Amino acid sequence: MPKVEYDALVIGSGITGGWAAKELTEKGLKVLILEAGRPIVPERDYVEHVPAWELKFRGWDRREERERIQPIQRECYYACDEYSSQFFVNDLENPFTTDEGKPFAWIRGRQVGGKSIIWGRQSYRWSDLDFEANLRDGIAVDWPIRYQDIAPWYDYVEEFAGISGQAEGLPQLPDGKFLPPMEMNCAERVVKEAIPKHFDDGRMMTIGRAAVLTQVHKGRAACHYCGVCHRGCITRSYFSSLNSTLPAAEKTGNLTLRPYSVVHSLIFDSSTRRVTGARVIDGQTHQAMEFHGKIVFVCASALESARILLNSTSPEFPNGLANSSGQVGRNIMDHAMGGGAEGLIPGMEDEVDFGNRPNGIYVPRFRNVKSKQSGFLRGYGYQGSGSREGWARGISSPGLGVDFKNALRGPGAWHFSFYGFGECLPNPENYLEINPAQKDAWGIPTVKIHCAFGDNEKALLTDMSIQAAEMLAAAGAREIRPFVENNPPGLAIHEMGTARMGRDPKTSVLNAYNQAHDVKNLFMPDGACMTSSSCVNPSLTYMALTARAADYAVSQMKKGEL
Amino acid sequence: MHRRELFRVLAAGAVMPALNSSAMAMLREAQAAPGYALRTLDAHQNATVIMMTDVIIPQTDTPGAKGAKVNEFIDVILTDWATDAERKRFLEGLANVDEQSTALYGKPLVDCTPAQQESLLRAMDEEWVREEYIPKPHTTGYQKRDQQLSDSFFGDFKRLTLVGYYTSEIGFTQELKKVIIPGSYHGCTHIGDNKL
Repeated sequence: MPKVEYDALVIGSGITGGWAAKELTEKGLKVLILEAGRPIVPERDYVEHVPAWELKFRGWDRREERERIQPIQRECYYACDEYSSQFFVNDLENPFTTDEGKPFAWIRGRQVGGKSIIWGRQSYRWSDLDFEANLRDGIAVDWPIRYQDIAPWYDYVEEFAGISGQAEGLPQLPDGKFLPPMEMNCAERVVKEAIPKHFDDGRMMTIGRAAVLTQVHKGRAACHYCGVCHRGCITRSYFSSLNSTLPAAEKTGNLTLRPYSVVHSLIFDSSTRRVTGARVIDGQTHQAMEFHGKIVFVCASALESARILLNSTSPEFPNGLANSSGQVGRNIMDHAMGGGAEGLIPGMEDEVDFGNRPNGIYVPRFRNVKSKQSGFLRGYGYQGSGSREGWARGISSPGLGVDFKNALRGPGAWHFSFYGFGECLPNPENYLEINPAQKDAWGIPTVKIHCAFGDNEKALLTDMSIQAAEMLAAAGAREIRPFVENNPPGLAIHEMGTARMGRDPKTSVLNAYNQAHDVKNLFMPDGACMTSSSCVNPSLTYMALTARAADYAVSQMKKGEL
Repeated sequence: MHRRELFRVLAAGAVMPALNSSAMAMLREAQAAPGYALRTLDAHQNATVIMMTDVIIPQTDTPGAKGAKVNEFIDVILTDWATDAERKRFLEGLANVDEQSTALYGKPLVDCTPAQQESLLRAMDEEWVREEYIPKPHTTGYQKRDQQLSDSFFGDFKRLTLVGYYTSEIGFTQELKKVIIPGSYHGCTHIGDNKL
């Protein structure tokens, strides 16, 4: 077979793989996407409008199957259910190990579109409070970029993706190019109003900034508020690779997408000191094959991308490709999630909201913004929402019969909950390594993950819970219940940091353009590149970094530098 | 106004079938089909379950639990979802209903008068709700999913009845008058202003 060389290989078709493919193909490159999982056909695989009564367990877990083949994936937020478990990996085929007593919830989606089908769609910009954090605190290494480097790329990806939100003028959470915001509901308006009256530390509440269209945008329809985005969206109203970037890439005529292509490792040519391609195991036939490209974008998700590099050993890189720093696989971060509080907001019995809004509220970080906290570094933000209780309140309420049934026909009290996401500090002792003794279903060595939250993350979780309860109290809530969930790292599905960007090749893997210090034609724009974690949801930043890296890569190619 | 908005969404050129018609044929095959044959409940247990669910959610201007065939949902859950221990506990709880009924009224509950049936079930409900008021630790979504059959018998029974009813086509469309595609979102509006 003659050797076909593409201009670019893109490994993975999730949020960053989709963006890399769109940008590179639109700039004229012939691109091959290698996607490990199956193809997705929206008309067949999207299930957002299937009613519960058509499912055997009415949307509950297919419990026996989940416990058998997805014991880890099923820990994911409600998304891995009877409808959407098809968008999560089979844990038996994709094993990994952890230390005793240090669980890691590695949630993965292997299919065309990756986890972009099931992501939470919250889209926030970082600020210099985040990019300067490591330098300021003397932790890990400094980011090689600042907000001004990425701001135009936030503009660029937001304009294409379509982000609904409200401009607020906050320095710690820069405004974007927003589509009209979704409305807050009655209870949320009460809480929003109460917060600035009772707290003088700058805290406030805004509507969530979500990659969900509130109006027709670039040929995609506005949201119709069925409310279950993680089951797919036949009107393409939220951003995913399948709904947005992959169709754009395909339109150029420059894209080849190969599903069932499990990348084993990358091929390094010691004479040119460049990667020349990828070793692939066919997902169905298990046949080994190779694909070749002039540049390679590794977009397999943070931990998978590190695994591919660590499995790519050569005499020049015995410890893994582009790993002269020893930092590949290190500094795993995930947001410390699950401190919060819930309560009931009295009154407004005659008011309801209408429609299923696939978005909530957001309280931007207020800790260590204006003043310095003594108990912890950095901070956290809250997602949350108000809602009227539905029929399910009947399960724990007294009563039966006609009156009971008639009461449950209408809505119950207004409920409100805050749920915090805290910044995780980079720590080189949180790392993954190759476990040669254990192979996945395609014979590829798996990883052992060593990761646990530290004292700073635990302090954030406690403070989140207390402050959430105080805000609810300020809003006049009743039956306030603070909580701190004991979630393992990974469960926020914001895992990142395993091939960090930095200024010095001795202490970082990637430069300011997501280009490997050691291998000039290798780019890693997914969560692996993150030098610190901020407390905001990371996907929008991955999108901006990917578009920026693709632009840089093509300009360097044209100059003959790659 | 909302119907109009829905049509506007459709007119925007979107392909939006009311249902994803070809979706998940595999899952649909598995549902309790018309002519569902019970696999766990025997005839007496089934009669007891039908009667109890219908006392909890009776027919009003809409069908009740019996009309929505909640008993078949309960049989599916007991057969294919419950663990062996959960199924055993549930069936023992069901037998205990008859023991209580026999002690009080001298016969199994299905053979009692409607007033006797309601009286016993109300007593069981009050006992369950007292237990429910004991504070429990906060649990995450997936943990809750595993705890659907871990309360006292009546708590589990009431949960299965309500879930089975309100996720049925009758419960969702007739009783709650909900729609799968609302077409718009309004954050704070007067009750009754948003009927499709």
